[in-house]
Amino acid sequence: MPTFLILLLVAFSIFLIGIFVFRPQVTATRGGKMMAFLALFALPLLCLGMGASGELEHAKSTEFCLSCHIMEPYGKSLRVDDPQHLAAAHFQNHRVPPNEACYTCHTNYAMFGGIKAKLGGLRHIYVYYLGTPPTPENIKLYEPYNNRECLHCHAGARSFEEGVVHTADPDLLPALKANKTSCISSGCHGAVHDVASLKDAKFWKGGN
Amino acid sequence: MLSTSPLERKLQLSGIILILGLVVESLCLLGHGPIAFMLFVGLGGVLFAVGIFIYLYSLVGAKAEPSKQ
Repeated sequence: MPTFLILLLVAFSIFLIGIFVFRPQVTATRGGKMMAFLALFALPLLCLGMGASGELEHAKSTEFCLSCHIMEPYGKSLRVDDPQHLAAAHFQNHRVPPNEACYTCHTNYAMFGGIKAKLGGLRHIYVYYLGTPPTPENIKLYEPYNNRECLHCHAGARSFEEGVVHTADPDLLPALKANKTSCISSGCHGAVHDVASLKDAKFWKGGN
Repeated sequence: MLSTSPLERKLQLSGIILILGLVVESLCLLGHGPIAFMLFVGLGGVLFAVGIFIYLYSLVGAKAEPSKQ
């Protein structure tokens, strides 16, 4: 829902609540009591729910993830002009939605995965503001990257299932699908963000 | 400004806290960074919870009063 509609509802709620703050005696009537329930219970809950939904949706955006200074090199890595660069190739070719690029690959496509991703995000904020944040080159994932996140989109795709390299060894595809061989750390798609070598990289200027 | 009736005073208090919560929510919705998100969850959430709790508590109190008489 657009933010201005939520703000409109918030303004309407403040107006109604204001009536009860300045004229609490209106609750003496039955209609006043019903109105009080609406203004002091139902509407605030609705505003809270809609606001929380808006905030959570906004927290998925690439802009939100890159708003922390420490994430700037990761944002730059999305613009590296090299098709072998996994994150850049996905971002520039819209294999992931560009406005939710970070979230699409770094969420957890399992039960309660979205909640787990949000808790991970809260941990980032805690470390960033209250802990000792590592340098961008030393940022590590909390747990090894799971192929499940890649297979969420690639499983069943012709380029994945019938790719020359993927089918050269008959054991490879089952091992990838079972997360026994990592897409990333096995050496096949190793250059993901590679922030340590960004100073020597060429950057794509398009897509703004 | 606060009413002398305990029930009305609780309603006013609940209303003031909820208005503060709504103002925090509006400001957070206009902000874009993680701080806005944390304020929404931390401060906004607590203000909403306290305001609604006081309102509900005032209803329970209002029901209990006649039985005392």
